[in-house]
Amino acid sequence: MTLGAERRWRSIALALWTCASIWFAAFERAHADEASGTWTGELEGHGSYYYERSTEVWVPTGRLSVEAPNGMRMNVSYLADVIASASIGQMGSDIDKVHVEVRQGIGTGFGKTIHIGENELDLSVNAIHSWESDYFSWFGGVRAGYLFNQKNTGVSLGVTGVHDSIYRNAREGQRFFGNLDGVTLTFGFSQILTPVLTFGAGYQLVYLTGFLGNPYRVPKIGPLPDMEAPPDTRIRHNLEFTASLYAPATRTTFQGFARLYTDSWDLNAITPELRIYQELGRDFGLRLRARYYLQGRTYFALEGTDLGNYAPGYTGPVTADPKLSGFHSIQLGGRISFALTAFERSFLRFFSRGVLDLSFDHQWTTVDSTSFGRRNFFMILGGRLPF
Amino acid sequence: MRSCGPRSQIALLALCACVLGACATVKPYEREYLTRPGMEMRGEAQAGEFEAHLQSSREGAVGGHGTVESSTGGGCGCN
Repeated sequence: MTLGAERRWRSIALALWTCASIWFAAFERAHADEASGTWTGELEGHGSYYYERSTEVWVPTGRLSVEAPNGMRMNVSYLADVIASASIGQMGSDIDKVHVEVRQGIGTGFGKTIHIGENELDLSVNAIHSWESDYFSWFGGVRAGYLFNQKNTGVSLGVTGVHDSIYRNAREGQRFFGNLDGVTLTFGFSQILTPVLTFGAGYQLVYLTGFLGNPYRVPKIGPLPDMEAPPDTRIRHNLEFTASLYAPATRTTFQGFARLYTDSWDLNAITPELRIYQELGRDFGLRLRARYYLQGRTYFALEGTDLGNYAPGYTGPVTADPKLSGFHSIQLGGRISFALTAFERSFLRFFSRGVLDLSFDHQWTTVDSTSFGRRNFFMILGGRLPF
Repeated sequence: MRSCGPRSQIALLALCACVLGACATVKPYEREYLTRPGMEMRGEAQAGEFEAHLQSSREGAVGGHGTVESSTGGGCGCN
Protein backbone atom coordinates (compact mmCIF):
# COMPACT_ATOMS: atom_id res chain seq x y z
CA MET A 1 0.00 0.00 0.00
CA THR A 2 1.40 3.41 -0.93
CA LEU A 3 1.78 6.27 1.52
CA GLY A 4 -1.10 8.08 -0.22
CA ALA A 5 -3.34 5.05 0.18
CA GLU A 6 -2.41 4.83 3.86
CA ARG A 7 -3.53 8.42 4.36
CA ARG A 8 -6.79 7.81 2.45
CA TRP A 9 -7.55 4.82 4.67
CA ARG A 10 -6.88 6.97 7.73
CA SER A 11 -9.36 9.61 6.48
CA ILE A 12 -12.01 6.94 5.86
CA ALA A 13 -11.47 5.46 9.32
CA LEU A 14 -11.74 8.88 10.97
CA ALA A 15 -15.00 9.56 9.09
CA LEU A 16 -16.43 6.19 10.18
CA TRP A 17 -15.40 6.83 13.76
CA THR A 18 -17.03 10.28 13.71
CA CYS A 19 -20.29 8.77 12.40
CA ALA A 20 -20.20 6.06 15.07
CA SER A 21 -19.61 8.66 17.78
CA ILE A 22 -22.53 10.80 16.61
CA TRP A 23 -24.77 7.74 16.53
CA PHE A 24 -23.58 6.72 19.98
CA ALA A 25 -24.16 10.19 21.45
CA ALA A 26 -27.63 10.57 19.92
CA PHE A 27 -28.78 7.09 20.87
CA GLU A 28 -27.45 7.24 24.38
CA ARG A 29 -28.75 10.77 25.02
CA ALA A 30 -32.26 9.41 24.48
CA HIS A 31 -31.66 6.63 26.96
CA ALA A 32 -30.16 9.02 29.52
CA ASP A 33 -33.21 11.27 29.32
CA GLU A 34 -35.63 8.38 29.60
CA ALA A 35 -33.99 6.93 32.64
CA SER A 36 -32.91 10.26 34.16
CA GLY A 37 -29.65 8.45 34.62
CA THR A 38 -26.20 9.76 35.14
CA TRP A 39 -23.31 9.61 32.74
CA THR A 40 -20.03 8.67 34.27
CA GLY A 41 -16.53 8.57 32.92
CA GLU A 42 -12.87 9.07 33.46
CA LEU A 43 -10.22 11.34 32.02
CA GLU A 44 -6.74 9.87 32.15
CA GLY A 45 -3.43 11.34 31.10
CA HIS A 46 0.17 10.25 31.45
CA GLY A 47 3.54 11.54 30.41
CA SER A 48 6.20 8.88 30.10
CA TYR A 49 9.94 9.28 29.73
CA TYR A 50 12.38 6.52 28.85
CA TYR A 51 16.16 6.73 28.77
CA GLU A 52 18.91 4.36 27.72
CA ARG A 53 22.40 4.78 26.27
CA SER A 54 21.26 5.35 22.70
CA THR A 55 17.65 6.37 22.97
CA GLU A 56 15.34 8.80 24.73
CA VAL A 57 11.56 8.54 24.41
CA TRP A 58 8.84 10.95 25.48
CA VAL A 59 5.27 9.67 25.33
CA PRO A 60 2.33 11.88 26.30
CA THR A 61 -0.94 9.95 26.28
CA GLY A 62 -4.56 10.76 27.02
CA ARG A 63 -7.78 8.83 27.22
CA LEU A 64 -11.39 9.82 27.73
CA SER A 65 -13.85 7.11 28.76
CA VAL A 66 -17.59 7.60 29.22
CA GLU A 67 -20.33 5.22 30.30
CA ALA A 68 -24.01 5.80 29.65
CA PRO A 69 -26.74 4.92 32.15
CA ASN A 70 -27.58 1.75 30.24
CA GLY A 71 -24.03 0.48 30.45
CA MET A 72 -22.81 1.47 26.98
CA ARG A 73 -19.18 2.54 27.08
CA MET A 74 -17.01 4.49 24.70
CA ASN A 75 -13.42 5.63 24.86
CA VAL A 76 -11.03 7.61 22.72
CA SER A 77 -7.31 7.84 23.21
CA TYR A 78 -4.32 9.59 21.71
CA LEU A 79 -0.58 9.19 22.08
CA ALA A 80 2.50 10.83 20.65
CA ASP A 81 5.71 8.85 20.77
CA VAL A 82 8.76 11.09 20.34
CA ILE A 83 11.90 9.00 19.91
CA ALA A 84 15.38 10.48 19.81
CA SER A 85 18.03 7.91 19.01
CA ALA A 86 21.72 8.14 18.29
CA SER A 87 22.09 5.11 16.13
CA ILE A 88 23.96 4.46 12.94
CA GLY A 89 21.62 1.59 12.20
CA GLN A 90 18.50 3.71 12.55
CA MET A 91 19.95 6.37 10.29
CA GLY A 92 21.04 3.94 7.64
CA SER A 93 24.18 5.99 7.16
CA ASP A 94 27.77 6.05 8.26
CA ILE A 95 27.26 9.00 10.59
CA ASP A 96 26.18 8.53 14.18
CA LYS A 97 23.96 11.50 14.99
CA VAL A 98 20.70 12.12 16.78
CA HIS A 99 17.67 11.04 14.81
CA VAL A 100 14.23 12.16 15.99
CA GLU A 101 11.05 10.50 14.85
CA VAL A 102 7.47 10.94 15.96
CA ARG A 103 4.84 8.25 16.10
CA GLN A 104 1.24 9.18 16.72
CA GLY A 105 -1.66 6.93 17.55
CA ILE A 106 -5.39 7.21 17.99
CA GLY A 107 -7.66 4.61 19.43
CA THR A 108 -11.32 4.14 20.10
CA GLY A 109 -13.51 1.50 21.63
CA PHE A 110 -17.12 0.67 22.35
CA GLY A 111 -18.50 -1.75 24.90
CA LYS A 112 -21.65 -2.91 26.58
CA THR A 113 -22.38 -5.00 29.64
CA ILE A 114 -25.48 -7.18 29.41
CA HIS A 115 -27.02 -8.60 32.56
CA ILE A 116 -28.27 -12.16 32.23
CA GLY A 117 -29.87 -13.07 35.52
CA GLU A 118 -27.13 -12.92 38.12
CA ASN A 119 -24.47 -13.17 35.43
CA GLU A 120 -22.86 -10.58 33.19
CA LEU A 121 -21.83 -10.69 29.55
CA ASP A 122 -19.45 -7.94 28.49
CA LEU A 123 -18.87 -7.24 24.81
CA SER A 124 -16.40 -4.73 23.43
CA VAL A 125 -14.67 -3.72 20.22
CA ASN A 126 -11.66 -1.47 19.81
CA ALA A 127 -9.47 -0.10 17.07
CA ILE A 128 -6.07 1.61 17.04
CA HIS A 129 -4.26 3.34 14.21
CA SER A 130 -0.69 4.54 14.61
CA TRP A 131 1.57 6.15 12.09
CA GLU A 132 4.98 7.62 11.60
CA SER A 133 6.97 8.50 8.52
CA ASP A 134 8.02 4.92 7.85
CA TYR A 135 5.47 2.78 9.70
CA PHE A 136 1.67 2.52 9.56
CA SER A 137 -0.30 0.18 11.77
CA TRP A 138 -3.99 -0.75 11.78
CA PHE A 139 -5.31 -2.76 14.67
CA GLY A 140 -8.80 -4.01 15.56
CA GLY A 141 -10.16 -6.37 18.15
CA VAL A 142 -13.28 -7.82 19.73
CA ARG A 143 -13.59 -9.25 23.21
CA ALA A 144 -16.31 -11.14 25.09
CA GLY A 145 -16.17 -11.69 28.84
CA TYR A 146 -18.64 -13.65 30.95
CA LEU A 147 -18.99 -13.43 34.75
CA PHE A 148 -20.90 -16.22 36.47
CA ASN A 149 -21.02 -18.18 39.73
CA GLN A 150 -22.36 -15.05 41.49
CA LYS A 151 -19.69 -13.10 39.56
CA ASN A 152 -16.93 -15.04 41.30
CA THR A 153 -15.74 -16.64 38.08
CA GLY A 154 -14.92 -14.98 34.80
CA VAL A 155 -13.94 -16.26 31.39
CA SER A 156 -13.03 -14.19 28.37
CA LEU A 157 -12.19 -14.59 24.71
CA GLY A 158 -10.50 -11.96 22.58
CA VAL A 159 -9.65 -11.89 18.89
CA THR A 160 -7.53 -9.17 17.32
CA GLY A 161 -6.07 -8.50 13.93
CA VAL A 162 -3.27 -6.18 12.87
CA HIS A 163 -1.95 -4.95 9.54
CA ASP A 164 1.32 -3.03 9.43
CA SER A 165 3.01 -1.32 6.50
CA ILE A 166 6.75 -0.97 6.91
CA TYR A 167 8.92 1.41 4.93
CA ARG A 168 12.56 2.39 4.94
CA ASN A 169 13.30 6.05 4.45
CA ALA A 170 16.39 6.07 2.29
CA ARG A 171 17.83 7.30 -0.95
CA GLU A 172 16.18 6.22 -4.19
CA GLY A 173 17.20 2.66 -4.93
CA GLN A 174 17.65 1.78 -1.25
CA ARG A 175 14.03 2.11 -0.19
CA PHE A 176 12.09 -0.81 1.14
CA PHE A 177 8.43 -1.66 1.61
CA GLY A 178 6.94 -4.63 3.42
CA ASN A 179 3.71 -5.75 5.08
CA LEU A 180 3.10 -7.53 8.33
CA ASP A 181 -0.20 -9.17 9.29
CA GLY A 182 -1.17 -10.83 12.52
CA VAL A 183 -4.01 -12.50 14.39
CA THR A 184 -4.16 -12.93 18.16
CA LEU A 185 -6.44 -15.20 20.17
CA THR A 186 -6.63 -14.60 23.91
CA PHE A 187 -8.36 -16.80 26.49
CA GLY A 188 -8.70 -15.56 30.04
CA PHE A 189 -9.93 -16.98 33.33
CA SER A 190 -10.37 -15.22 36.67
CA GLN A 191 -11.58 -16.48 40.01
CA ILE A 192 -12.31 -14.87 43.35
CA LEU A 193 -11.13 -17.50 45.81
CA THR A 194 -11.75 -15.77 49.14
CA PRO A 195 -12.64 -12.18 50.17
CA VAL A 196 -8.91 -11.37 50.05
CA LEU A 197 -7.53 -13.72 47.38
CA THR A 198 -7.98 -13.74 43.60
CA PHE A 199 -6.46 -15.87 40.86
CA GLY A 200 -6.19 -15.39 37.13
CA ALA A 201 -4.81 -17.35 34.20
CA GLY A 202 -4.59 -16.71 30.50
CA TYR A 203 -3.36 -18.12 27.24
CA GLN A 204 -2.51 -16.09 24.17
CA LEU A 205 -1.80 -17.38 20.66
CA VAL A 206 -0.30 -15.00 18.10
CA TYR A 207 0.19 -15.75 14.42
CA LEU A 208 2.32 -13.29 12.45
CA THR A 209 3.19 -13.33 8.79
CA GLY A 210 5.02 -10.95 6.49
CA PHE A 211 8.21 -8.96 7.01
CA LEU A 212 9.17 -9.63 10.63
CA GLY A 213 12.51 -7.85 10.63
CA ASN A 214 13.66 -4.27 10.83
CA PRO A 215 14.57 -2.58 7.53
CA TYR A 216 17.22 -0.39 9.21
CA ARG A 217 19.33 -3.03 10.91
CA VAL A 218 22.31 -4.16 8.87
CA PRO A 219 23.57 -7.70 9.51
CA LYS A 220 26.55 -8.97 7.54
CA ILE A 221 27.15 -12.18 5.66
CA GLY A 222 30.89 -12.36 5.56
CA PRO A 223 32.09 -8.82 4.86
CA LEU A 224 28.93 -7.85 2.96
CA PRO A 225 26.12 -5.85 4.62
CA ASP A 226 22.66 -7.23 4.02
CA MET A 227 19.06 -6.64 5.06
CA GLU A 228 17.48 -8.57 7.91
CA ALA A 229 15.70 -11.64 6.60
CA PRO A 230 14.08 -13.58 9.45
CA PRO A 231 11.47 -16.27 8.71
CA ASP A 232 8.25 -14.76 7.35
CA THR A 233 5.95 -16.44 9.87
CA ARG A 234 6.07 -16.56 13.65
CA ILE A 235 3.73 -18.26 16.11
CA ARG A 236 3.86 -17.09 19.71
CA HIS A 237 2.39 -18.83 22.78
CA ASN A 238 1.94 -17.06 26.12
CA LEU A 239 0.72 -18.74 29.27
CA GLU A 240 0.33 -16.53 32.32
CA PHE A 241 -0.82 -16.68 35.92
CA THR A 242 -1.68 -13.95 38.41
CA ALA A 243 -2.58 -14.11 42.10
CA SER A 244 -3.41 -11.20 44.41
CA LEU A 245 -3.63 -11.37 48.20
CA TYR A 246 -4.82 -8.53 50.43
CA ALA A 247 -3.72 -8.31 54.08
CA PRO A 248 -6.33 -6.16 55.90
CA ALA A 249 -4.23 -5.82 59.07
CA THR A 250 -1.46 -3.92 57.28
CA ARG A 251 -3.53 -2.75 54.27
CA THR A 252 -1.04 -4.40 51.95
CA THR A 253 -1.65 -6.21 48.66
CA PHE A 254 0.80 -8.84 47.41
CA GLN A 255 0.51 -9.56 43.72
CA GLY A 256 2.43 -12.28 41.92
CA PHE A 257 2.64 -12.69 38.17
CA ALA A 258 4.30 -15.30 35.99
CA ARG A 259 4.47 -15.65 32.23
CA LEU A 260 5.78 -18.60 30.22
CA TYR A 261 6.54 -17.89 26.58
CA THR A 262 7.60 -19.95 23.60
CA ASP A 263 7.47 -19.38 19.86
CA SER A 264 8.16 -21.04 16.52
CA TRP A 265 11.60 -19.41 16.32
CA ASP A 266 12.64 -21.50 19.37
CA LEU A 267 12.73 -18.46 21.62
CA ASN A 268 11.67 -19.39 25.16
CA ALA A 269 11.24 -16.96 28.05
CA ILE A 270 10.00 -16.78 31.62
CA THR A 271 8.90 -13.61 33.42
CA PRO A 272 8.12 -13.71 37.14
CA GLU A 273 7.08 -10.46 38.77
CA LEU A 274 6.14 -9.45 42.32
CA ARG A 275 4.29 -6.28 43.24
CA ILE A 276 3.53 -4.94 46.69
CA TYR A 277 0.89 -2.25 47.14
CA GLN A 278 0.90 -0.41 50.46
CA GLU A 279 -1.83 2.01 51.49
CA LEU A 280 -0.37 4.95 53.44
CA GLY A 281 -3.07 6.85 55.27
CA ARG A 282 -6.16 7.95 53.42
CA ASP A 283 -4.58 9.63 50.40
CA PHE A 284 -1.21 7.99 49.65
CA GLY A 285 -0.36 4.68 48.09
CA LEU A 286 2.98 3.06 47.37
CA ARG A 287 3.65 0.30 44.86
CA LEU A 288 6.97 -1.56 44.72
CA ARG A 289 7.80 -3.95 41.93
CA ALA A 290 10.51 -6.48 41.08
CA ARG A 291 10.51 -8.13 37.65
CA TYR A 292 12.87 -10.73 36.27
CA TYR A 293 13.07 -11.62 32.60
CA LEU A 294 15.00 -14.53 31.10
CA GLN A 295 15.04 -15.54 27.45
CA GLY A 296 17.01 -17.92 25.27
CA ARG A 297 17.99 -17.11 21.70
CA THR A 298 16.18 -17.89 18.48
CA TYR A 299 17.66 -20.69 16.40
CA PHE A 300 19.15 -18.28 13.85
CA ALA A 301 20.43 -15.41 16.02
CA LEU A 302 24.09 -15.05 16.89
CA GLU A 303 25.18 -13.70 20.25
CA GLY A 304 27.68 -11.36 21.83
CA THR A 305 30.22 -9.85 19.47
CA ASP A 306 29.04 -12.26 16.74
CA LEU A 307 25.57 -10.66 16.72
CA GLY A 308 24.58 -10.05 13.10
CA ASN A 309 27.91 -11.30 11.70
CA TYR A 310 27.24 -14.47 9.72
CA ALA A 311 29.87 -16.61 8.06
CA PRO A 312 30.49 -16.19 4.33
CA GLY A 313 28.13 -18.38 2.32
CA TYR A 314 25.47 -18.54 5.07
CA THR A 315 21.98 -18.96 3.55
CA GLY A 316 19.61 -19.22 6.54
CA PRO A 317 17.50 -16.52 8.25
CA VAL A 318 19.48 -13.39 9.07
CA THR A 319 19.08 -10.90 11.91
CA ALA A 320 21.05 -8.30 13.83
CA ASP A 321 18.34 -7.90 16.43
CA PRO A 322 19.76 -8.07 19.98
CA LYS A 323 16.40 -9.04 21.42
CA LEU A 324 16.56 -12.32 19.53
CA SER A 325 19.71 -13.36 21.40
CA GLY A 326 19.80 -14.85 24.89
CA PHE A 327 19.87 -12.53 27.90
CA HIS A 328 18.22 -11.78 31.20
CA SER A 329 17.23 -8.57 32.92
CA ILE A 330 16.12 -7.33 36.31
CA GLN A 331 13.74 -4.46 36.80
CA LEU A 332 13.06 -2.69 40.09
CA GLY A 333 10.58 0.10 40.42
CA GLY A 334 8.31 2.11 42.63
CA ARG A 335 5.22 4.22 42.22
CA ILE A 336 3.57 6.66 44.59
CA SER A 337 -0.07 7.66 44.22
CA PHE A 338 -1.77 10.65 45.75
CA ALA A 339 -5.55 11.04 45.95
CA LEU A 340 -6.78 14.63 45.65
CA THR A 341 -9.37 14.35 48.41
CA ALA A 342 -8.01 17.55 49.97
CA PHE A 343 -9.98 19.46 47.33
CA GLU A 344 -13.28 18.18 48.74
CA ARG A 345 -13.99 21.38 50.65
CA SER A 346 -12.60 23.85 48.13
CA PHE A 347 -13.92 25.40 44.95
CA LEU A 348 -11.79 22.78 43.12
CA ARG A 349 -13.90 19.91 44.48
CA PHE A 350 -14.45 18.66 40.92
CA PHE A 351 -10.90 17.33 41.16
CA SER A 352 -11.36 15.68 44.56
CA ARG A 353 -11.92 12.22 43.06
CA GLY A 354 -8.74 12.42 41.04
CA VAL A 355 -5.53 10.51 41.62
CA LEU A 356 -2.00 11.56 40.67
CA ASP A 357 0.80 9.06 40.34
CA LEU A 358 4.52 9.08 39.73
CA SER A 359 6.56 5.97 39.00
CA PHE A 360 10.24 5.27 38.47
CA ASP A 361 11.68 2.00 37.17
CA HIS A 362 15.28 0.96 36.57
CA GLN A 363 16.31 -2.05 34.51
CA TRP A 364 19.63 -3.87 34.28
CA THR A 365 20.16 -6.25 31.40
CA THR A 366 22.94 -8.57 30.28
CA VAL A 367 22.41 -8.03 26.57
CA ASP A 368 25.70 -6.74 25.19
CA SER A 369 27.38 -5.50 22.04
CA THR A 370 24.22 -3.69 21.04
CA SER A 371 22.80 -0.23 20.98
CA PHE A 372 20.49 -1.10 23.86
CA GLY A 373 22.97 -0.47 26.62
CA ARG A 374 23.01 -2.43 29.83
CA ARG A 375 20.87 -0.07 31.88
CA ASN A 376 17.77 1.95 31.23
CA PHE A 377 15.13 3.66 33.26
CA PHE A 378 11.73 5.16 32.71
CA MET A 379 9.44 7.52 34.61
CA ILE A 380 5.71 7.95 34.29
CA LEU A 381 3.83 10.94 35.67
CA GLY A 382 0.11 11.08 35.28
CA GLY A 383 -3.32 11.05 36.76
CA ARG A 384 -6.91 9.91 36.53
CA LEU A 385 -10.01 11.97 37.10
CA PRO A 386 -13.32 10.12 37.39
CA PHE A 387 -16.46 12.18 36.84
CA MET B 1 10.77 -37.92 32.68
CA ARG B 2 8.68 -37.01 29.66
CA SER B 3 7.57 -33.37 29.70
CA CYS B 4 3.94 -32.37 29.17
CA GLY B 5 3.03 -31.04 25.74
CA PRO B 6 1.13 -27.78 25.21
CA ARG B 7 -2.20 -29.62 24.92
CA SER B 8 -1.68 -31.38 28.25
CA GLN B 9 -0.77 -28.09 29.90
CA ILE B 10 -3.89 -26.38 28.56
CA ALA B 11 -6.08 -29.30 29.66
CA LEU B 12 -4.50 -29.14 33.11
CA LEU B 13 -5.15 -25.40 33.25
CA ALA B 14 -8.80 -25.89 32.29
CA LEU B 15 -9.19 -28.60 34.94
CA CYS B 16 -7.68 -26.35 37.61
CA ALA B 17 -10.03 -23.56 36.53
CA CYS B 18 -13.10 -25.78 36.91
CA VAL B 19 -11.97 -27.02 40.32
CA LEU B 20 -11.20 -23.52 41.57
CA GLY B 21 -14.48 -22.20 40.21
CA ALA B 22 -16.53 -24.88 41.87
CA CYS B 23 -15.07 -24.47 45.34
CA ALA B 24 -15.31 -20.71 45.82
CA THR B 25 -18.31 -18.44 46.24
CA VAL B 26 -17.65 -15.07 47.81
CA LYS B 27 -20.81 -13.05 48.47
CA PRO B 28 -21.10 -9.48 47.12
CA TYR B 29 -21.03 -7.98 50.62
CA GLU B 30 -17.69 -9.75 51.28
CA ARG B 31 -15.91 -8.02 48.40
CA GLU B 32 -14.83 -4.80 50.06
CA TYR B 33 -11.15 -5.64 49.85
CA LEU B 34 -11.33 -6.64 46.19
CA THR B 35 -11.45 -2.98 45.14
CA ARG B 36 -8.15 -2.15 46.83
CA PRO B 37 -5.07 -1.21 44.79
CA GLY B 38 -3.48 -4.27 43.27
CA MET B 39 -6.61 -6.40 43.57
CA GLU B 40 -8.00 -4.84 40.39
CA MET B 41 -6.39 -6.37 37.32
CA ARG B 42 -6.71 -3.27 35.11
CA GLY B 43 -5.66 -0.72 37.72
CA GLU B 44 -2.67 0.55 35.75
CA ALA B 45 -4.03 0.12 32.25
CA GLN B 46 -2.63 3.16 30.46
CA ALA B 47 0.78 3.12 32.15
CA GLY B 48 0.87 -0.64 31.56
CA GLU B 49 0.39 -0.14 27.83
CA PHE B 50 3.44 2.11 27.72
CA GLU B 51 5.48 -0.48 29.58
CA ALA B 52 4.27 -3.25 27.30
CA HIS B 53 5.29 -1.21 24.27
CA LEU B 54 8.75 -0.60 25.74
CA GLN B 55 9.16 -4.26 26.51
CA SER B 56 8.09 -5.29 23.04
CA SER B 57 10.94 -3.24 21.57
CA ARG B 58 13.52 -4.67 23.99
CA GLU B 59 12.47 -8.26 24.64
CA GLY B 60 11.80 -11.17 22.32
CA ALA B 61 8.79 -12.39 24.28
CA VAL B 62 5.75 -10.26 23.59
CA GLY B 63 2.19 -10.46 24.79
CA GLY B 64 0.31 -11.73 27.78
CA HIS B 65 -0.54 -9.42 30.68
CA GLY B 66 -4.23 -10.10 30.00
CA THR B 67 -4.23 -7.53 27.25
CA VAL B 68 -5.57 -7.64 23.74
CA GLU B 69 -3.17 -4.96 22.63
CA SER B 70 -1.46 -5.02 19.30
CA SER B 71 1.37 -7.48 19.44
CA THR B 72 3.08 -5.67 16.63
CA GLY B 73 2.70 -2.22 15.24
CA GLY B 74 4.00 1.08 16.31
CA GLY B 75 7.56 1.43 15.26
CA CYS B 76 10.30 -0.53 13.66
CA GLY B 77 11.98 -1.03 17.02
CA CYS B 78 9.31 -3.59 17.80
CA ASN B 79 10.33 -5.76 14.85
